[in-house]
Amino acid sequence: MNLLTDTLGMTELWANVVIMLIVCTIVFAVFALMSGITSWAERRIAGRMQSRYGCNRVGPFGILQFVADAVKLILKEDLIPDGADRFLYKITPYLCLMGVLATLVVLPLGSRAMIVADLNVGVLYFISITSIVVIGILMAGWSSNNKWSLLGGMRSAAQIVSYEIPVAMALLTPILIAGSLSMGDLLDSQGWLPWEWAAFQTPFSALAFFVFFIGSLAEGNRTPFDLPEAESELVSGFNTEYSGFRFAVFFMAEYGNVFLIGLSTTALFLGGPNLPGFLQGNPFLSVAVMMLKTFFVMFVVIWLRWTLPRFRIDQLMDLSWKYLLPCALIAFFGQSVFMLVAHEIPAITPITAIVVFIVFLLTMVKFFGRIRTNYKEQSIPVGLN
Amino acid sequence: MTSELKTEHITINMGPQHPSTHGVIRFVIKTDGEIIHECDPDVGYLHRGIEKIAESVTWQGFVPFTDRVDYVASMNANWAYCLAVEKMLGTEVPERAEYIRVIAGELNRISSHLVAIGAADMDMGAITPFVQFLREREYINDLLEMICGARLTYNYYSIGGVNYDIPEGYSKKVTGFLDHFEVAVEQMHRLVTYNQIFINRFANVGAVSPEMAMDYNFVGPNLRGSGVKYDVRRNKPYSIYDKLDFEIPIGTASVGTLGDCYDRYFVRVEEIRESVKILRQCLQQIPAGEIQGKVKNAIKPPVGHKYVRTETPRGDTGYFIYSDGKTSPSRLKIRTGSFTGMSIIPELARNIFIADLVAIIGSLDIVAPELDR
Amino acid sequence: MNTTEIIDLIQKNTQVAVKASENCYDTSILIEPKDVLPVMTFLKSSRDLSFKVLSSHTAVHDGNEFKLFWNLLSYEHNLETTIESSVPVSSPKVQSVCELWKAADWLERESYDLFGVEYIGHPDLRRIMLPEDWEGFPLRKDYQSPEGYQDIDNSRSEIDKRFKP
Repeated sequence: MNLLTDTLGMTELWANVVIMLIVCTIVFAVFALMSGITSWAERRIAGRMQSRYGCNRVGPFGILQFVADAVKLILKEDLIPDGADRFLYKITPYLCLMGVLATLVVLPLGSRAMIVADLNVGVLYFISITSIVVIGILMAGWSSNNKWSLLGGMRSAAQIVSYEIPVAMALLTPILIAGSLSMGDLLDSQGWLPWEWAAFQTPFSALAFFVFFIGSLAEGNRTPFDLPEAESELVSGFNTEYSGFRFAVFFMAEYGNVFLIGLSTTALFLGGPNLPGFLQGNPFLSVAVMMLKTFFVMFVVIWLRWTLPRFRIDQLMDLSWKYLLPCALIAFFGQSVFMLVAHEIPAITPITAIVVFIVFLLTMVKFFGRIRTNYKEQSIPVGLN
Repeated sequence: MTSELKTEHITINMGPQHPSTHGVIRFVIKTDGEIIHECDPDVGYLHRGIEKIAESVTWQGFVPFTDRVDYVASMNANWAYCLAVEKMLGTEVPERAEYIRVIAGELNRISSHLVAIGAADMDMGAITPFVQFLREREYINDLLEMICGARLTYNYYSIGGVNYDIPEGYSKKVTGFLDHFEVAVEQMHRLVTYNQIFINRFANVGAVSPEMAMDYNFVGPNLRGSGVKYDVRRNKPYSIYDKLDFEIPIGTASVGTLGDCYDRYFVRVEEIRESVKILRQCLQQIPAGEIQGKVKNAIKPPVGHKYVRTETPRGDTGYFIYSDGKTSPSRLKIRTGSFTGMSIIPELARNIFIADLVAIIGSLDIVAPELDR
Repeated sequence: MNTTEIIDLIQKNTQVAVKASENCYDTSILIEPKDVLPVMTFLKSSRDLSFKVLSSHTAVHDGNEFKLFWNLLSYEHNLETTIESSVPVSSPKVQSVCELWKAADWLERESYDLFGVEYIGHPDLRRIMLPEDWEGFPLRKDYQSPEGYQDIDNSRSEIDKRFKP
C-alpha cells in the first residue's frame, strides 16, 4: 500500500483499487486452480473406487487433465439453441460462478490474517451470497428452450432454497459458541485439539455439524442430492444445452463449490487453521493445516458421491423440511440451554467435549473395522489363469 | 368473478436417445412437471425383421440370429431356439451336451442378471456397483471365451448339441471363480441392496399384483417378483433340470408391497445365488461322452406347428414355429419377456414421478433388441 | 388332461362346434373366427381349466388365408393348449380378446402391424413396430420391400452405387 502511494505517487483511492484487483485475481486464480484439482481428484478417486484407473494419461497421474478439459471446452463451437433467450443464456453461467466465487472473500485460506475481507458479518454474508446461484439456475433452465432443462432448473431451485434454511439454522450453533458473526472470531473461538473444535463441543454442536454438512451437499447439487442433474433422467438437467466455454464455467462453479464446502466446514466446525501455541504465527503451517483438513472433507464429499444412490424429489424435500430443520432447531435450542448451564458450572464444557469426541472416535474405529472385513472378502483370488 | 389459474400439461419426450432407457425406446409422457399423467411407449426403433429373416435362412443357419435377439443373455437365446427345433425333430441330445448346455446357460444367466441389477442401480444414481458388477462379469466373459471363443454373441449351441467341447481343467477354473464370486457379490449387495436410500426408491413403486401379472403375461423374474411361483425349469422341465436341486425365489413383500420394484430386483439377486448352486452341482456330475446328437444335414421338420418355452434370464422365451416341410421355417414367432413386460407401463405409469418411471423400467429388465426383434 | 378332454368340455358348456386339428406334434383346437369370444371366455373362466394366461398370439400367412394361433397357459393346473382359427386374406377380421387378457393388447397390435389382421373391439389398434406412415404389411409372403421411405432411397441402383468398389 505504502509502496504504491509513496513510490508511484498514486492517490489512496487508486492504490486501494489496484490492491483490490490484485487480491481478486489471486483469489480467482486459487479458486480456478482448486476447482480444476477437485475435478481431477474426483475422477481419479472414482476410478480407484471402481477398481479401475482414473485419469492417467495427461501428466503424471493425469493431474493435467483439467487443463486438457479446459482447452478442449474453449475450442468448442459457440452454440446458442434456436429459440433460446439470448441475453439470459449468455449471462447465466457467470451469475452462477459469481454466487460461488464471491463466498471465497470471507473464507480463510490460512490463518486469520489470510481472510481477504474479515467482515464483522462474515457468516451472514456467506449464507446470503450463495443464494444468487438459485437465480442463475432458474435462468439456465428457462433460457435453454428445453423442457427437460426447465424441469431440472425448477427442481434445483426448489432444492437449494429448501436446504438453505437448515444450513443457516445449523450455523447458529458455532455462532453461539463464538459469540460473534465474524469469521475471524469463529476461528479464534476454536482450539487446535480435536475436542476444542466447534463440531465436538457438545452433542448439539455435533448435530449442527452434520446438518450443516448434509445441507451443504444439497446446496451444491452433489449426490445423494443430485436429482436436478441426474444423468439417467434429465441428461444433466439445467446445463444440458450449454456447451463449450459456458459449460466450462458451470463445471468450474460446481467443483469450486465442492472446494468451498470443504473450506467452510473446516473453518466453521473443524477448527480451521489453529495450531498449537508454540507453532502459532507460522503462515505456511497454518495454510498447510487448513488445506489438509479441507482436502479431507472434500474426499468425504467425493466418497459419498460414488457410494450412495440418489433421493427422489419428494424424499429430498421431506428430508429437508421434516428432518433437518427440526434437528437444526433442536441443536440451537440445546446449545443455548447448555451454554446457560455452562455459565453456572464452567467445568462441564471440556468434559462434554471430550466425551463427544471419544464417542466419535469409537464410531470411526467400528467403521474402519468394517472396511477391513470388506477388503479381506474381496481378496479371494479367482485363478482363471 | 374470479378466474382460476390455468395449468397445462406439457408433453415431453423421453426420447430414443436417453441414458436411462435400456436401449432405444421412446416414451411420450404427459406431465405437469413432476407427476406423469399419461405415458405411451413407442417401440420399434430396433426392429430388424428377424422373424422375416427366418423365412429365408435354413434352420441351422438361424442360430446366430438368435444371439442378436437378446445379446445380453445370448447363450440362453440360442438354447431357446435349438430346444424348439429339437422338440420338433425329436432329436436326442447326449447327456454331456446337456450338462455343458446348463453350465453355459447358467453362467450366462449370472452375467445377464449382473447387468440387469447394475443398470437398475445406475439409474438410481449409484454408479459404483455397476462398474464392480461388470468387473465380475469380465471373469464370466473370460470363462465363456475359453469354451467358444466369443465374449458377447456366442453362437455356441447347435441343433442337437453344442459346437465345441469344454477344455481341460475347466471345472477347476469355474469352481475357482465361483468361490471368489459368491463372497464378492455379497459385499457388493451390502452397498446397494440393503441401503436405505435405495430401498426408499424401490419399495412401494410400481406394485403389480399376482392377478395383474398373469393378466399381462409377465414372465420370469417379473412374475416371480409378484409372488407367483412358476418357473419353466421346474414346472415343465427340459434338459436335465429335473436332476438338479435348486429353489425358486419369489417376491415376499419384505419391504413394501408385493410385486413392487424391490421384489423384482431382489428375485434377480436371489436367482444369482441359485445359479451358483446349480453350477456347482453340474460341475460335479458332468459325464463323459459325445457333444452332438445325430441330426441330418438338411433339416426338414414335418409340416405342423409347435410352441416351446424356455427359461431365459428375462422370462420365458416362447418360440412358435410353423413348418411346412421346407428347409427354412414358414413362420417363426419369438415371444420374449421384455415385450410383455413393456406392455404394462401405460397402466403402471399413472400418477407417479418421472424418477419412479425410471425405477420401474430398470426393475422390469427390458432390453430393447429383445423387445423389437 | 389332454386336448380331446378340453374339446369335450368346450362342447358341453358353450354349444360351439370345435374340432381337433391334428399334426405330428400335438393337437390344437380349431374354431371359427366368429366363435372366438365365447370359447375363450369359457376357457378363462372355467374352474377345471382356468386358462388365465395368454402366452402368445400370432398369425401365419398360408396360401390365401391367415391362420391365427392363440397359445393359452394355466398355471394352476399346469396345462397348455393351442387354439387355431383362420381368416381369409381379403377380409382379415376377427374379434379381439383384449377384455379377457390384457396381454392381448400389444400382441394383437403387433399382428395388425405385420400382417394386417384387424381386430374388432381393440381399444387402440395402431402400428407398434413400424412407423405410423408405413405402407404395407411386411410379414405377408407377397410383400415387396419399398423403394424408399420418406427421403431415404433404397432402390437397387442406389444400393449398387454405394457398394461399388
